[in-house]
Amino acid sequence: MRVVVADDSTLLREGLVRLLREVGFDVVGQAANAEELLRLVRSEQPDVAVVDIRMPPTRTDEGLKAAEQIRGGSPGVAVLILSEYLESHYAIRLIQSASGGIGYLLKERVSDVQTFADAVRRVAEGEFVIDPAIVTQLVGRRRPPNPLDELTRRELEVLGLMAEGRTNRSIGEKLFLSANTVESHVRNILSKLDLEESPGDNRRVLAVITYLRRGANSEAAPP
Amino acid sequence: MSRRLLTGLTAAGLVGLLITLSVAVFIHGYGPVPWWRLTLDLGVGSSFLGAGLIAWWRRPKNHVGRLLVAAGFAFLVGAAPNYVQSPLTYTVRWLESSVYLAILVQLLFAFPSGRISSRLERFLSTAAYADAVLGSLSTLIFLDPRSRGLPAGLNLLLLFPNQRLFSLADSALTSITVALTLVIIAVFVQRWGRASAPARRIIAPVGWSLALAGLAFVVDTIVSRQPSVPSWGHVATAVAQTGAVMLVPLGFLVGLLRSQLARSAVGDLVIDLGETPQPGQLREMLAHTLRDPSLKLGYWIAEMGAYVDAAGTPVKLPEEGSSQAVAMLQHEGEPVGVLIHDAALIEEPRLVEAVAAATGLALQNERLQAALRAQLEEIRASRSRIVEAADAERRRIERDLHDGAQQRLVGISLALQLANSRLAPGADPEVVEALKQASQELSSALSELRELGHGIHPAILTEEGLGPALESLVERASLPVTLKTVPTRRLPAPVEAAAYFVVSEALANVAKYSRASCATIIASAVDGRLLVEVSDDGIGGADATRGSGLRGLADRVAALDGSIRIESVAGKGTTIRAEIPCAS
Repeated sequence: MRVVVADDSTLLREGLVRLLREVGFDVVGQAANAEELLRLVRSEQPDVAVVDIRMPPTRTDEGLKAAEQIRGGSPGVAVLILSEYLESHYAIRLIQSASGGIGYLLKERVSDVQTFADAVRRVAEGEFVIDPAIVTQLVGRRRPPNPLDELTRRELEVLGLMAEGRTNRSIGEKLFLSANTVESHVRNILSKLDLEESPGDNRRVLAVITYLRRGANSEAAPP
Repeated sequence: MSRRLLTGLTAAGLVGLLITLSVAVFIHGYGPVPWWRLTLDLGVGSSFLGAGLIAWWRRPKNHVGRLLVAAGFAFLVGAAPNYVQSPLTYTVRWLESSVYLAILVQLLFAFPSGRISSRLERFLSTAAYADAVLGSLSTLIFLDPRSRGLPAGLNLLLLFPNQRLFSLADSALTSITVALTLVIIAVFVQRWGRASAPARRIIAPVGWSLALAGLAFVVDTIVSRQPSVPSWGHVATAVAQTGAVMLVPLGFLVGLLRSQLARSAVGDLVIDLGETPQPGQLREMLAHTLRDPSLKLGYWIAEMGAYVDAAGTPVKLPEEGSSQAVAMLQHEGEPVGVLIHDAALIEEPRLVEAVAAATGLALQNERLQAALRAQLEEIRASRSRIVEAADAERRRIERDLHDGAQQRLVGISLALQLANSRLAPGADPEVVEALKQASQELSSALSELRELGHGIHPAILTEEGLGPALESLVERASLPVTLKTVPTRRLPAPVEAAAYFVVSEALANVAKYSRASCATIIASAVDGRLLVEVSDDGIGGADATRGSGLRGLADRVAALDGSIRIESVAGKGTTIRAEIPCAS
């Protein structure tokens, strides 16, 4: 799997490259800023671009913008954003910008090489990837009454994995469950939360995240 | 002696004189004069005395009142011998009957200040007295009463009884009197022509009443020399003439009181000044009070060492002897401005002084207020600079944390991971465990650092705005919070930061003290103001002064000209409401 890495910190960029090579990815290029990244993506057409959210020149959301541009201009190239911000807003912004093949992962996830490598593979396969910490924060959010209380432990687990952007197959693999079991869990969850079944696995994550981001009172949708 | 007592005594004396005169006339009969003549004479005398006494009472320092009283007295004394025939009264009457006219001339030139300022006018006034007394004397020494069918002894001053010389002197006197009158009229008309609007306003009643009296006199003189006119015609013109003369003292009184009214307008001015008028309005108000449309107001600019008008144009002071005069406006010896007014107003020095004092005070007040406003503005600006600097500093710290410590920790994490993956299978399990623990510790450190940075100044606030930042706060809150509305557009950074920290601090307080089960946030930008409201359903009774957090927020909001209010009734929850101007 061909990967490019963009991060303005040489130390981190090279560390990421080594780590990715270590676990079997073919790193075909490195970029220190968004412009270099876009050039690299055009010339190399990699499977995945691993991109730091904060890059020169303004060090604000260049990474996000680059991701949106890549997904728009080179649909074959998946993007995994690495960020230090535990903000569902950024994740939602990414999900809304593409129909899949995009992810938002906290940078510290590099310390868990399996999760990191898994995320890279999943975006390459066209899935959404939402960092588990964001999902945990959303699921753990205080809300009265809390419809999540009606979910079983296992359903809650499945909901979290749905929110991370996983497909039914991916959830089944993760939880060692059969496809049929996962499907029935998903159906139960959607019905308990009064959510409509989405045609594809991919749009499902948007519905679930939006639901989870909704406040204590369902009347107001967050920005 | 007090003003009232003096005037009262004079009034009593004169009324007594009038009564005595009337009684004497009744006892001795009307003499050669008909009764209606007596009534007219008494009317003229009373008119002068009454007007004079009122003027004297209202303006005790002004000679006009006393001169009017003197004129009335002179008129009555001159008229009395008509009714009581004796050598003394005959002589006195002849000498004195014109004196009141001379007093009128003095009054005319001395009006309204009571003092004659021009040399020509002083000469004419003196000439009028000379004409009245010496002129009468020069004819009297030749006048033989017998030529008029009266006893010879009546004229006490008869030195050379000579009808021819008398006629000669009389014609000469008449010519001189007519010439003098014409000169006086000319000088007065010239004075009128030169007079400014405020001066004319005061002189006008005098001028008109004198003109009317003069006209009536001419008509009466002509009619009385026409034998064909029936006797009732003579009576009518005499009555008309006397009536016109009676108006003259009233003219003086009205003119005098008009300047008095102007002085009472100073009271209105002081009230108007209390409403701190705009500089442009101030000049209008002063012009109105002093009844001088040409009035100019100069503001003293110490830096320029010059006076400027409301538009900032330098104001030139009039030269000596021009038709304009200057009143300096001072406060505690320091110049604050200048009034350039019509020279006629010099005749009202107290009026100008009062206006100048009131205006000086108002100008000083205005200057002090402007200085205070400037200082407040400076304080406000410096406070907002401090808040902005603090915000910038917080943003810098957050970035430094992010780009420095956090990156390094992630780097170490990566290094550990690489080291771990290089371990040969079957490596020392303690080393594996140590690496794993270090990695977990690093994860926690990163997580704590991330929340620390978020608390200092969330990047999402700077980059995505108030709405996403509030959503982020709500997701982290330890109790259920509903975010009802957020502004749809970006607002100035200081406004967003203030609103964010108000909500952040309020939510922290809700969690700490309120025992609430939920809270609601409203943030909306309407009509150039951002309203932020955090309410909970807790125990209420929050004290705004408790804790430095809310006070600090009040300062932060006030630095942006906003306000913050806390409603917290025991048992009814707490609402913190901040309003911040956000016109952008």
